[in-house]
Amino acid sequence: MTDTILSLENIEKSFDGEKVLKNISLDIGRGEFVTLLGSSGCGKTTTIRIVAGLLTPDSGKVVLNGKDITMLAPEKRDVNTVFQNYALFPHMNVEKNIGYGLKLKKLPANEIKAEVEKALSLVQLEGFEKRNPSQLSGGQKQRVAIARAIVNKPSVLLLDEPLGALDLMLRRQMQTELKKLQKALGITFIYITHDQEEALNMSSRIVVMRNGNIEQIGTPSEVYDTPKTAFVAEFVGGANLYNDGKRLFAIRSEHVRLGVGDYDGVVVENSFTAGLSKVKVRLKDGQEITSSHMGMNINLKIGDEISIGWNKNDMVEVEGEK
Amino acid sequence: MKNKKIKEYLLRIPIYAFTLLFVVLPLVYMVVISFLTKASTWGFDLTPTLDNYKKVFEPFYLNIFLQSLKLALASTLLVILIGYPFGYFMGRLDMKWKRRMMMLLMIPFWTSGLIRLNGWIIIFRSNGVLDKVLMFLGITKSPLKLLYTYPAVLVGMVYFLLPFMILSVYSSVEKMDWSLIEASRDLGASKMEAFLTVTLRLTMPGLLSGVVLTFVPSMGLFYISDILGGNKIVLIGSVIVEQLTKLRNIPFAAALSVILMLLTTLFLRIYKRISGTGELEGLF
Repeated sequence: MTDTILSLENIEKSFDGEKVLKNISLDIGRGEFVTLLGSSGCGKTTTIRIVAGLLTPDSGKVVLNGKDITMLAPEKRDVNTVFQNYALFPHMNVEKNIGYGLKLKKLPANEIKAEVEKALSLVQLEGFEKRNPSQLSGGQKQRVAIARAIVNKPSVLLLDEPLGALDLMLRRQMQTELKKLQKALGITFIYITHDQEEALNMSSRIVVMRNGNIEQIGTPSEVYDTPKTAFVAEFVGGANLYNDGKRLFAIRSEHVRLGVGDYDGVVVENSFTAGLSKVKVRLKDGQEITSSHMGMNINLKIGDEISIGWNKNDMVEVEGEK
Repeated sequence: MKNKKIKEYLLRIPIYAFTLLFVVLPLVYMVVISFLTKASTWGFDLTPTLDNYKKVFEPFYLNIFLQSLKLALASTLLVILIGYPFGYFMGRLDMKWKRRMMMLLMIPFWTSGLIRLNGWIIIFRSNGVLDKVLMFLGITKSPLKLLYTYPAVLVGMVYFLLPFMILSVYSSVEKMDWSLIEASRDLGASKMEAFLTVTLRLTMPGLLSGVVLTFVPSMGLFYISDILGGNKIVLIGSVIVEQLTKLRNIPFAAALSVILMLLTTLFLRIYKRISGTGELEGLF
């Protein structure tokens, strides 16, 4: 990463005496698509609200384009946000919503109109200028919210679970579109989600957060293949955790073989969903390991005795507790 | 299916009957009387005439209409200036304080408005509470004699009407989605710009309904000016009461009431135009 656009330096934040962010430091490069991934309450939304200026950190610095913006008012930051609930202005039509930021910058009306049209075509909503937000579907509102933010050409675009309210099909489609949009615009995206699949699919880097800490930062494959902590292994990869008595290892379920191996156990669960068979086996020492396979159901019943195994180099040593 | 329709219809009959009996009939009665002649002793003769309306348009009465309109506008303006910020900040308090403020707003309604207005006499009269406080503080040297003056009436009106504006603004501020303000700041609006382009616009319905709740009654309120204004400030409401109870000119009182009602209706029409579909877009 040669060109840092945004740095968070030792950010801390408490609400009512409870530490929500504990010493967060993070560098984000120009043009990156960084995802903050974590379950609710991990501090990811607080983090981007601090970047947007809607919250002030208790300590630490926010540096944008080399300038300390920690105490700068939100309207003076070269950052825009796509809010989780869209936050479209109900008293303005689509055109006025999108043109809002440009109008505040006192751009001439014809330029605003041209920019709004460009933004609308980027989110594939041509012809929706005069619609009111109440006349739009969830997906369309989302697109307007994105257009309203990108039309200002911010250095960094913050997206707070923008696809959270959409159904699965639309979500997938929007993931691809957002990724394309980000490439086309070259704007740095900081994207929040609690959906690890979304994070793996879209990001150039993933920041896994937990309880106000950063657990791991890395590319999707780094985070998925070589998790540093037990939490990352389970949350991102859905991996098994195996304790050999001394150390803790993550083993991904697709690497666990059924029928051959050094570990004996009993089948406790057998399920088939979305093209994937999953068999959970309880080993003699009580640890449970799941094995997954593409394709149809495997002919095993609950209670069947079975041996399982895995290659030594599929074991990734992780920190933390099971 | 058909049975259900008949049932629905039957259920509506009481509302229609009530409206007809207590709203439409009295109105028709009033309008009809306004075109009749005053009897020499009591009541009215059935001789049709336009004299009552001619009299309404005499300069003397037009002037009173004008004075009433001015007072109504002045009190409405003051009520907006005090009531909007009050309702706004009340809407932004936490739940506990909202309840307390609501309680404080409601307490005055437990006693009759007339009694509360008499309280203002004690405050305003020569050497009354206000004079004593002002002289004690050395702000004035002699009693101001505020009672029976225009400002006293104005204060009385504002005092009387303020709660309606506060509650109306409060309820619209309470419904505000504050993430819209964050969005507006995020898109480059200063606090003031965010207030003007988002908050004010979205609480406008509350403000406007507060204006209706203030302006419409203030046109007809007569006892405030009677109590706090003596007989110096004559409003159209007082004239109607006087014509009705003292001078027994029922047809003329009816004609004045019809004109007052038309004025109020006109105002409500304007209100509807302004608050209607996106007509306020121009404010931004």
